[in-house]
Amino acid sequence: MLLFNRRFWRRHDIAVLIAALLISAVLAVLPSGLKTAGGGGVVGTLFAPLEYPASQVRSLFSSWRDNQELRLRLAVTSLENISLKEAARENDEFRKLLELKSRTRWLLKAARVVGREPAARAPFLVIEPGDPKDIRDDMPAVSDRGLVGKVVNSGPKYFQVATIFDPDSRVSAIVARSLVLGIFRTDRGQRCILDRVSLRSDVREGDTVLTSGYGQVFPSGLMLGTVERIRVDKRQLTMNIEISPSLDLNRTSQMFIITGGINPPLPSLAPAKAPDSLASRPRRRIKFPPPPELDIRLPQAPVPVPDESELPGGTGQ
Amino acid sequence: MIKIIKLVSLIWLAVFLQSSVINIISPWGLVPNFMVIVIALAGLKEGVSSGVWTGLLVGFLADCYHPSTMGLFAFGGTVVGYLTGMARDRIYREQLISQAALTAALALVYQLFVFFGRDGGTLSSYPGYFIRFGLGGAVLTALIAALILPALERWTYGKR
Repeated sequence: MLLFNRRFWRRHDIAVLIAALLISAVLAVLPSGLKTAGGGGVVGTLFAPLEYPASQVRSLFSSWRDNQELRLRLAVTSLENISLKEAARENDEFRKLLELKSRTRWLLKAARVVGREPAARAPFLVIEPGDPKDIRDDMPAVSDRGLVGKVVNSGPKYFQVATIFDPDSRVSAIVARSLVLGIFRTDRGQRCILDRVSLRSDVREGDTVLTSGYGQVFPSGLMLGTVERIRVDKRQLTMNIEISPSLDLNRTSQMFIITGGINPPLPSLAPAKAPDSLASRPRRRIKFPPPPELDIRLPQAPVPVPDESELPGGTGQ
Repeated sequence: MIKIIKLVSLIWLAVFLQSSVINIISPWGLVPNFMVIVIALAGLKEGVSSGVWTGLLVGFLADCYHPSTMGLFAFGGTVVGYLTGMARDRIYREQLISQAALTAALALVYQLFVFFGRDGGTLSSYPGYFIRFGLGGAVLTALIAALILPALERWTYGKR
């Protein structure tokens, strides 16, 4: 009866504590099977009514967390995807460069682009060769897309390459189909043009333009681009040929520097046609009328002949 | 009797929230302890006896969620309830700040049982746990206690 007396418990705090601790100890020493069954039973009975709304709340929060995590994962995956695409593109570029290396008889040194202007037709690139030895100024830089430019500023580790888009760059070029010579350059760094091609030259849109090798700087046969548009101005002496360059700096991260080797033979040139100028035009032949026929006849009247008789007085001998 | 029913309802709700819901919305891994708040409510209002029995019941129900350590939380709740009752006459229990500070201290005591008993933590790793989770959890418990204790007290025991 003492145990159910509230006043007793209120007065004897220590007794309450000891009783509670004893109950705790009894709970602790219960067989594990009983603990599990008892605990599960209590939870299932007492907390079941609240479990459904709680599970909804849990589901809501776990969905929110999953959403956050998935967003993060999506961002990471997107970055990985970009990185893999970049690696694939680089791999493709390397494969083409290897193909180029095996095709030619040049001594090539690989270099990667480490800096350039953000412009699509940047006049200069900064490259870092794997082996900078033997690389000097004016050495041509090539990629799988053709001629890139030439080394203009060689340093111990980094080198500057003036691209074919440099406004000061001039490349001796040749139209592959018709072997017409010209000068490849940019028009103030914007349009690429093939300059100094005479008006009557055989150049068509879509023709491939290569380096000719006659400039003594770049070897022959390197791709420069294709003829995009031709405009003829009769008042000028040369054609206005716009070239679509094959070099795409946005896709060029690796290149080769030609440090030596054997250049391909120079192309034979097309027979030069006469330029369209007054001085070289064929002269017109002036047709003169036939000369009038002259009727020359001997005179009919006797011509007085001088008297050959002796003169009077004779000779006196 | 009504008081007891209300208090048991609070215990039921607190244990359920603590065991099922609160872990998924814990900010920065800091978990407020609703069970300690309910024990503090009973202990501060009615003294050692009520605190101890409330602590025992709260601990037992919490043990049911972790049957492998059955008795551990009952023991912890009992100790917390007893300490609340002991502190009742030594603090200005009507002051909200005193109640909050006591709740924070009780939360730290209860964490000892969780850390060493249920989680099997070691003495050397306790300082790290204390700084990272313990202190923050105790402060959060105190803040929530300051917010809800007066309302809970009014609802359970009527007007002050």
